[in-house]
Amino acid sequence: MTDPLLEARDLRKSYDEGRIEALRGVDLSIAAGSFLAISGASGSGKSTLLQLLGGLDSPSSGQVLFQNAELGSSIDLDTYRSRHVGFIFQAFYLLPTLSAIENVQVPMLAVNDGANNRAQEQRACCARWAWKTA
Amino acid sequence: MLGDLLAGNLGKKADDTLEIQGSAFLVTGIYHGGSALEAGAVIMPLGELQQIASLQGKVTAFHVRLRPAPTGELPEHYMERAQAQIEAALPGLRAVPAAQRASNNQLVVLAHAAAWGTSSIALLIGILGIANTMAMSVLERTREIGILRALGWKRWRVLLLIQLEAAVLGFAGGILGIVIGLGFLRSLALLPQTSSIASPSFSPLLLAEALGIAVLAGLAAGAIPAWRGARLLPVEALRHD
Repeated sequence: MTDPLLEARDLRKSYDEGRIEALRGVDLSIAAGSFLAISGASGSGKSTLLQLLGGLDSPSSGQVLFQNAELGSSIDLDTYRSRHVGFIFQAFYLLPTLSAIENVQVPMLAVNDGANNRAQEQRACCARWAWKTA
Repeated sequence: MLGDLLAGNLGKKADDTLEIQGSAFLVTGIYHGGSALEAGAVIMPLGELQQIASLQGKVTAFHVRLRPAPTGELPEHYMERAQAQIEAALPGLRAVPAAQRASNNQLVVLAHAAAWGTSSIALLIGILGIANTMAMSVLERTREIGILRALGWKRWRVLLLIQLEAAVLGFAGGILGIVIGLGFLRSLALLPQTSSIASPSFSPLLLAEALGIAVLAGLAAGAIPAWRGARLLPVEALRHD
C-alpha cells in the first residue's frame, strides 16, 4: 500500500480555553488521486477540519502530515499553503481592487515568480478552464 | 536715520520727529537695509545713543572690516592672526568673526530653536496622521490580508506590502509639503515686510533631506500597523467582517 498524501493523527481543536471542542481526535488518511467528501451537520467541525488540513490554522493537539512530513514543524505552513495545497473558499474571497486576471496571479506572488512567469502560468491556467483572456 | 522697514512700521519719513526714551530726534533720512535687522534699525550719533542709554563713554561692540587676506595666506589663518592682534592690542576685548557672532546671537539661536520645535511638532503630527491612516487601512483590509496569508504569503511579505504603502504615503506627503512650503516661501519673499528674511532659493540637498525624512516618517508610522497586519492568523483574518 502506498503512503497517504495527507494524514491526520488524533487531531484535536478546541476554542475558548478548551470549553468548546470542535474536533475530538480525528484520524484520517487521504491517498493521492482520491476524492473525499466530508459531510456532517452544521457545527460538527467540517470547516475546522478543512482549515487544519489546509494549513490555515494549527491544531490544539495531534498532527497533520503531508507526504509524511508534519505541518508546522517539518513543513512551514506558509510554504505548504503556497506550494502544496489549493483552498477554494465558500465565499471565493477575491480581492476587489484587482482585476480577474490579477486575482489569478495573486497566489503566484507568494512563490516569487517573475512577472513573465506569472503571466505565462496565468494564461495556461485560464486556458485549462477555457477562459479566454486577451 | 531710520531703516526702511522701521520707518514703514512707524509711519515716519524724513524731517519727521521720532521720540526715543523721552527725547525727540529729527529723522534726517531713510535708508534701505539688506536684512531685517538692518532695515529695522536706527542709526544715530554715538554720543546721543550713549546718553539716552545711560552708557556714557561705553560701547557694546566694534565692527572691524579686514583688508583682503595677503596672497599666499589662508583666509582662516589671516582671520585668526587679526583676532590675536586685536586681543593683544586691546586687553579685555574679545575679537570674534562676524559669522560666529551671528550664529551665537540669542535671537538667531532662538529662531533656530523655534524652527526646530515647529518642525518636530509638524513631523509628529505627520507621523500620527500616517499611523492612523495605516491602522485604519489594515483594519479595513483584514480579510484581504487573510486571503493573502491563506494563499501562502509569508508574514514578511505582508509586512513589506504595508510598509511600502506607508513609505509611498510619506513620500507623496513630502512632495506635497515641499510644493506648499515653496509656494509659501515665494509669497513671503514677495512681501515687503518679510522679503529681507525669506529667500526663495533652496538647495537640492535640503529637498532630498526633506523627502528622506518624509519617507522615514512614513516607515516609522507604518511599523506598528504593519507588524499587527503581519501577525494576523489567516483563519482569524478571514473571519473578520
